[in-house]
Amino acid sequence: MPITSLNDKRILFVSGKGGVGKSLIAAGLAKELADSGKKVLLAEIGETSYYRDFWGLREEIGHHPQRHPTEKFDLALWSGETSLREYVLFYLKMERLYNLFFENKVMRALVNVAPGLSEIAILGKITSGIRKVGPPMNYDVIVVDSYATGHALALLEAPKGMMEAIKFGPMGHHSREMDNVIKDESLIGYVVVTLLEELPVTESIEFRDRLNTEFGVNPVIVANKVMHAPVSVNELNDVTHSSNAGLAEFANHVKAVNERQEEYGKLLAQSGAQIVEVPLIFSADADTLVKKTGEALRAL
Amino acid sequence: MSAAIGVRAAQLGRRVLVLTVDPAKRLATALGLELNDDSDKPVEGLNLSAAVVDSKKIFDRFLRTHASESGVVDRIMKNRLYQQMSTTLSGSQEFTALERLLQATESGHYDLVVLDTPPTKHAMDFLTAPQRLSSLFSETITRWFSSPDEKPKGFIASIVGAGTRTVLKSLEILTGGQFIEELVDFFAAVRSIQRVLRERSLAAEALLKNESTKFIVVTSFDAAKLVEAKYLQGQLKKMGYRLKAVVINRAFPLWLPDGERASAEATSAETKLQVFFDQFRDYYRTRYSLYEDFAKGLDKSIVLTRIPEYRQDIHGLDDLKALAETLSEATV
Repeated sequence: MPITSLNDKRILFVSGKGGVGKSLIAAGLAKELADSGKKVLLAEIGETSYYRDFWGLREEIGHHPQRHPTEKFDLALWSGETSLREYVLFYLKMERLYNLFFENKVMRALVNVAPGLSEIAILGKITSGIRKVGPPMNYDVIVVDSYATGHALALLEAPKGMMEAIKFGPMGHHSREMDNVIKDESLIGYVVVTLLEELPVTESIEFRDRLNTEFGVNPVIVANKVMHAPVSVNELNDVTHSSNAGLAEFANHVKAVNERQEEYGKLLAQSGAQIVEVPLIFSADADTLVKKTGEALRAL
Repeated sequence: MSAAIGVRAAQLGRRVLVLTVDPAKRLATALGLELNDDSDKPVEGLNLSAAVVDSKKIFDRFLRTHASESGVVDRIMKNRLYQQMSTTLSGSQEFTALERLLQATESGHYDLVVLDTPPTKHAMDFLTAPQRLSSLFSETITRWFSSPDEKPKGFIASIVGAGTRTVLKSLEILTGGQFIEELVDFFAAVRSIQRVLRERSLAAEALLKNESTKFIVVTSFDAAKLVEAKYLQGQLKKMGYRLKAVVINRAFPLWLPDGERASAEATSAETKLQVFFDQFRDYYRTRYSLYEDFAKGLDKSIVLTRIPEYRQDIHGLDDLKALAETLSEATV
């Protein structure tokens, strides 16, 4: 799959082990695509927002997309509850009936606990533009800052589970549609973010294999926070013998990191996946981080 | 991290059980855990046992123990909703983890039980699980779904409130009739164990609020994560849970020597590396000040520990012990 093909997807699904920086990668992708002229939505899923604190936004990020104050893309936060509410309203249409539905203690309890209902609602929202269901979403691409690996799989597997439980009616039909969309690589691109360390790499390879086997898709792997020391191997070796003890110790550390990165980089490459590296960025400023990350992802 | 905390406590002389929900392969091997066996496994050389929390097994065992007649057990096990729900039910993983915790504390074999909470995007899901489940299985609700003589078919006509009738009819529009039948059947069957389900959920909640139960939040050295940790701290306090320690993972590296700068006779390699080193140090200095702000905001009674960046990969029991040793006695 040529590296430039991520450009034509309608949905980019970004996942990875918790703590590897997938939210930043998703933001970088959104920025690159938006700056190149596309209509982009950066969507978070779940109950609370990461991006609000990350960018220090005054306004809350809500279910309905709003433009980022400085960037060219929109932001939204889709939770199970808001997505389900929108879906039900779309079908039931009558306000009174809707109130009955959600005020009713039974329904509230059920919605809180029902298997995969939250996941289906969210996946439904993500794919609604493509499936032409629900309120219109006129974006060229939606970048989804998804859940961490395990939970992301549960999200993608939800339609299948729902199709088992509900064979008829709109919910059964929609679940089937969703299942088809997530398996269609002409529409959706998968990005798995990792660090060049043992646990993330192992988990990423397993995740990639499962995506391949269960959904027939080929995710791109982004190796994040890769350290590029501005010295050659020989120069490093020299400094480890330096009379400056502090520098020598640092040199040893850099050597160790290089070796580890090489080892796990090779392991990743062996998996056959397409890999892109994003360097370690020495900044705590959100705008700088997103800008530099986006630049590194330009290859995609 | 839970395993390391368990190891530390064991080293300090307590009888410990570590319950883990989704262990990484290497960790599982280090602790001697096998995929298909969820019994307590003693770890070599330490007063420590470990076990995997197998959600499905625990749910099935729970059913068999508490259902009043075996007919009910079969009926529930055959119900497709149960088959779906028992593993994917939002809250079921948490319920089974807590049920396992309850059993472990009730056994009397251990001084300390460490539970690694199930992986969720937010720890709040775990903390609210007992209430969500017990509200679903409350007497009122299960009564709404079953008629007095427990007949699953044609129940809609005999249901009490007009509200439920309308709601279920509208649900039928979305799901089709068969799902509703299964739902009703499920609740009818569950009716016989709902009291126990609810009792255990309440017992789990009581255990979490007990004086002897402490929470440890593990977070990482990242501005947004620290904000989240602060929020969690507030929520824990509000719900009556006791936060004991906050462990910050992936903290700045140990080797940050403030050492001498490269001298005038430095080689070009040394100079280049010095520049790189300065970048690193400035980067970590900024993050360190974020950490300091966070530390200031914590209650004095809460222990704050930093685990340095390099001790992340656990290859075996020795690595686990090394990580454990970085934890102070106050943390565990």
